[in-house]
Amino acid sequence: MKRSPFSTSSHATEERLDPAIQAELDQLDAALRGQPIVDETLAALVRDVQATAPVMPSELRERLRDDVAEGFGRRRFGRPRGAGASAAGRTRGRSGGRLLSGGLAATFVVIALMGVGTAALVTQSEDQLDSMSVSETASGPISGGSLPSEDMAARAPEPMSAAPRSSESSGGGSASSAASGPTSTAAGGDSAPGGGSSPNIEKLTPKQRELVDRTLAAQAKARSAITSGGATPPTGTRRVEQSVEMRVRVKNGEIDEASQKVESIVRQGGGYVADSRVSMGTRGSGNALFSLKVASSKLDATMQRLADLGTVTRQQQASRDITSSFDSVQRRLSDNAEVRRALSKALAKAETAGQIASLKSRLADNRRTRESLERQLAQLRTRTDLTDIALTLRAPSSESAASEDDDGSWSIGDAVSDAGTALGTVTGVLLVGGAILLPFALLGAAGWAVYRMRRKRRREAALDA
Amino acid sequence: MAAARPPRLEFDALYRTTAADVYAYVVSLVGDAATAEDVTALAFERAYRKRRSFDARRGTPRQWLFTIARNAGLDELRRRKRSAVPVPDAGDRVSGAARADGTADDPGAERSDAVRAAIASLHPRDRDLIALKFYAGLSNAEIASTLGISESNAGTRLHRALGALREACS
Repeated sequence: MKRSPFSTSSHATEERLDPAIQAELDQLDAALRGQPIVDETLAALVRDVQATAPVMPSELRERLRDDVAEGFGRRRFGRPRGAGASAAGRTRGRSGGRLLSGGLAATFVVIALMGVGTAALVTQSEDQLDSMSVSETASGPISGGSLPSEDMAARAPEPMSAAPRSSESSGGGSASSAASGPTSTAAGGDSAPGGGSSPNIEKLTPKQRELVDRTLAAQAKARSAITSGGATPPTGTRRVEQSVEMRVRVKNGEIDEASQKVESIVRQGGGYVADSRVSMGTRGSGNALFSLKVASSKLDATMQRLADLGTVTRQQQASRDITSSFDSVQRRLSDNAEVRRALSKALAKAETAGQIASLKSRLADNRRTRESLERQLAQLRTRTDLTDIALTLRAPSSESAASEDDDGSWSIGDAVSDAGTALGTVTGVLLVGGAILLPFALLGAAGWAVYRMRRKRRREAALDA
Repeated sequence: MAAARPPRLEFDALYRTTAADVYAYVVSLVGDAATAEDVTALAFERAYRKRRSFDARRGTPRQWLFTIARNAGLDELRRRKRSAVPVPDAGDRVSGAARADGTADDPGAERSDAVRAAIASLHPRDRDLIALKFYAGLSNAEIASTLGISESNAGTRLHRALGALREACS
């Protein structure tokens, strides 16, 4: 068998053929068409080669004709020979190829779905974690949780804890203050009006609701223990700094009126408005942000009045135990007083000018220390006597308000809105799915290209015996 | 203005006009008549199943079909190489069959045997080109497209294969 002298590489030059070669090929084409040519040898060769062309068996011709007519659907090729087995193998190979393709496609779809599902779960988990972190911090040492108040005193005092009074709420009636009882550290605080009503916790899971209830109960218990003391409680009484975040949705067009009421409510609460920003939108919408300071002893009553401005959509209360700081300052003040008394006695007995000067200097230092400690104590007292409230009032636009005040019937507007929401969701899912699938698709395309190239190379290699 | 719809592949007509040529080409490629029958049938089946993917802009139906047949034949050759099945010598087998028909003393038959032997003695790539030209009846451009090479390269290869065939027949 002779080896072909030419290269096997594909796509060689695009040069024009040599005229002599082209002329011979033209003659070959003419001879194959049965036309007379000058090169008799070539003409004879063409005739001889054509004469040796293998003849298709009539049986195969008929069988194939039938199969073409039937669309190759009813019978598979294969003969009871070795080659027949290979045909069956090829059929299996095709089936395997289809299975492989189907499997790959299914894998991609599953990966995409898993990706979308995971993204959704992650988002949901993050939401849940957000809410649970609030709930869990609510079980901190001061806010109560499941810990008895006696145990709280033995715990590290400083961590901030938050007790959600209500979760995000899109509707429903006005939120009432939580049944948490008095929150102030001073004695004789206002009790929460309507204390028996629960906060807007309809959207909480039963476990979360139970946790909130337990937290609030423990909080009330802790507060009642704390408030047994006076304005300057003795060592051992808990001093609690509190902060509240509250969002209230007011009726359309009432943002201004509600803002004015806030100032009145805060004055009643023994506090003041530290900062306020009111912005009015179109069609009666608007937002108002307040930074309020109210007497901790009147916190619940104040919150109830603020809640009555509209519908509470979010309410979160945090507390920080600063008892140790308070006690520390008080102890240092007490020590300072003892030192002062001792220095005074010593000064009274001093005889030399040097002693007197030294003692006076120490007394002056003692006075400065006392003044500093008293300032610290005053600040701590302010932090416990006044509670920060971050209040947000929001008045939706008339359209939003209309939808929020929906009577429950399903209108064409609702349908359009739902369709828009559904379209947005579907688009989002498709985008996320596409983003997940794109790398796989690119990899698949690259793999497919490589596979085709390798397959072509392997096929051509079959001719290299 | 609507784009012109590509002509639909008339598979029956394609089969009628190409069946014999496909078989002849496949025999030359795989060197075994029995295997060639299966490969021919497989090629038509593949073509039938892929007929909707035929794109007239990329070649003629005949060239498309012979590309499929060639791939099927090459797959068979690869399979046989993998399973270590010896490839029958096409020249020996076909000429032997001819002699069994009692035509050995015929001068025309002797010439045919010599030509078959010459074709069988060619390098498989040369034989493939000769078969694509003589049995499949493809133009140089169609051969180039089938092999995935340029037309000038196909012409050069064909010229050399023809020279090898001339030499083998002389």
